[in-house]
Amino acid sequence: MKIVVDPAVCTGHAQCASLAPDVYTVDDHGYNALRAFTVTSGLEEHARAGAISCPEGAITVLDD
Amino acid sequence: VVSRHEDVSAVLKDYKSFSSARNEVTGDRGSVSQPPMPFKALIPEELDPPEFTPYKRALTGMLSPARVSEELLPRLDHWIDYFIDQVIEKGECDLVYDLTSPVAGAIALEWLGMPRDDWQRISKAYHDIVGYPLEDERAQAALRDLGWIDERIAEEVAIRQREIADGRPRNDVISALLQEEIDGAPMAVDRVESMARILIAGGVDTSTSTVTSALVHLHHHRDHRAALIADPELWTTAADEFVRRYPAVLAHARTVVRDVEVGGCVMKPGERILASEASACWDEAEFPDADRVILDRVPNRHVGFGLGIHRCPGMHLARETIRHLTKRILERMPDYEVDEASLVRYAKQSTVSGWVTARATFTPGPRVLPQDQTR
Repeated sequence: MKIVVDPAVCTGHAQCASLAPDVYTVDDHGYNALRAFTVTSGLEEHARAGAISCPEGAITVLDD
Repeated sequence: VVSRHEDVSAVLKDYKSFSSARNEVTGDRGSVSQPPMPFKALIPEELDPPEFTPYKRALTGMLSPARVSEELLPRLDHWIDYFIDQVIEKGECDLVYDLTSPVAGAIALEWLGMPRDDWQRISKAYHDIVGYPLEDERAQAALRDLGWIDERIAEEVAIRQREIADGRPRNDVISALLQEEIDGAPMAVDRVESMARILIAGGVDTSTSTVTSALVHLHHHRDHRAALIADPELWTTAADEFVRRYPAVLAHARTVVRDVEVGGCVMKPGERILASEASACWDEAEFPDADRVILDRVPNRHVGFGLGIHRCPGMHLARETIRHLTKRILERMPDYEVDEASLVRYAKQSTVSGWVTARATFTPGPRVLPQDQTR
């Protein structure tokens, strides 16, 4: 599973990192720190919960 | 009025069509309320990009999740215990005036750098101005105090300008704002004053409103109270659910600046619209069982903190305030009962909501901080 974050849409709610701190990290301003990454095996459900909770719709989940 | 979750989200994200700035339609009145109110400008809320961007950038840096947890959480926990100590032996208090309002005030005003002696008057003024109808004497007194607050901010800013000129800047937010660069030059003094004003206005009576609503909810819903006491992990999702169900801020206005269509409705430049975050938070199409509080609701794409570039910069502090303050009250006053006859709702208006006052009784308990500790 891959996660893609649109930095133009993220405004730093940090809901993703709040719900799935083991998957998402935020930068010094609270914005998603990574643009694209592969989810560590076993954390797929956390990653999905963080993605669907983004109020701005900035996170896309790409299933393998 | 824009009311559906989908449409409110579309409006708040589309800052190019929906302007937050003052213009020929709003005149010199506040542009993000409807009707425009005779308040001084709130920076950066009443700015559009590109002018908006560096001011907001300064705020998101100061109020990032990391800065909040490192610098503000210890102070938050301290002030929570300090104010609970003031009432814990009595077995009764006003949840608003004794706990939620002073805690939210202390954490914001200490961080900003306002002197301790001013805190209670400032918090009370921002509470009473939205709590009571404008013709009420308490609101009139609050309106006069808002003028006093502007003078106090100007005085404190002037003190810090001298300190910075003398090469001995203080470590507080007013000093940090004065040293912030905007487009290569130091931030203008009137902008610093305006930022201080919005940090107070946005910080003191918003968390107050949502925490009080959560406490009243947990008075009526003992099963939720028991669940949160038994499983504090629920606070990961519960704080946002209280913001969704009991949003402090009900709506924001915008001015249409280009032809745009939202939800099948065509809008023209110069028209004013009111986007209701509260209505969006209660939209059944987005939130199943929207009227019910579901403590572990996921996903919860609520717009209680706003959305898009103008989203609340203090949201990370607000979440922690809701979590820590409510949780600690449940720990130290687990059997509190709200006196339902004492409950008074905020005066009818289009912007802020909550409980003006909420008296409660509980089994008295011991203080936890040394008695002579005042800070």
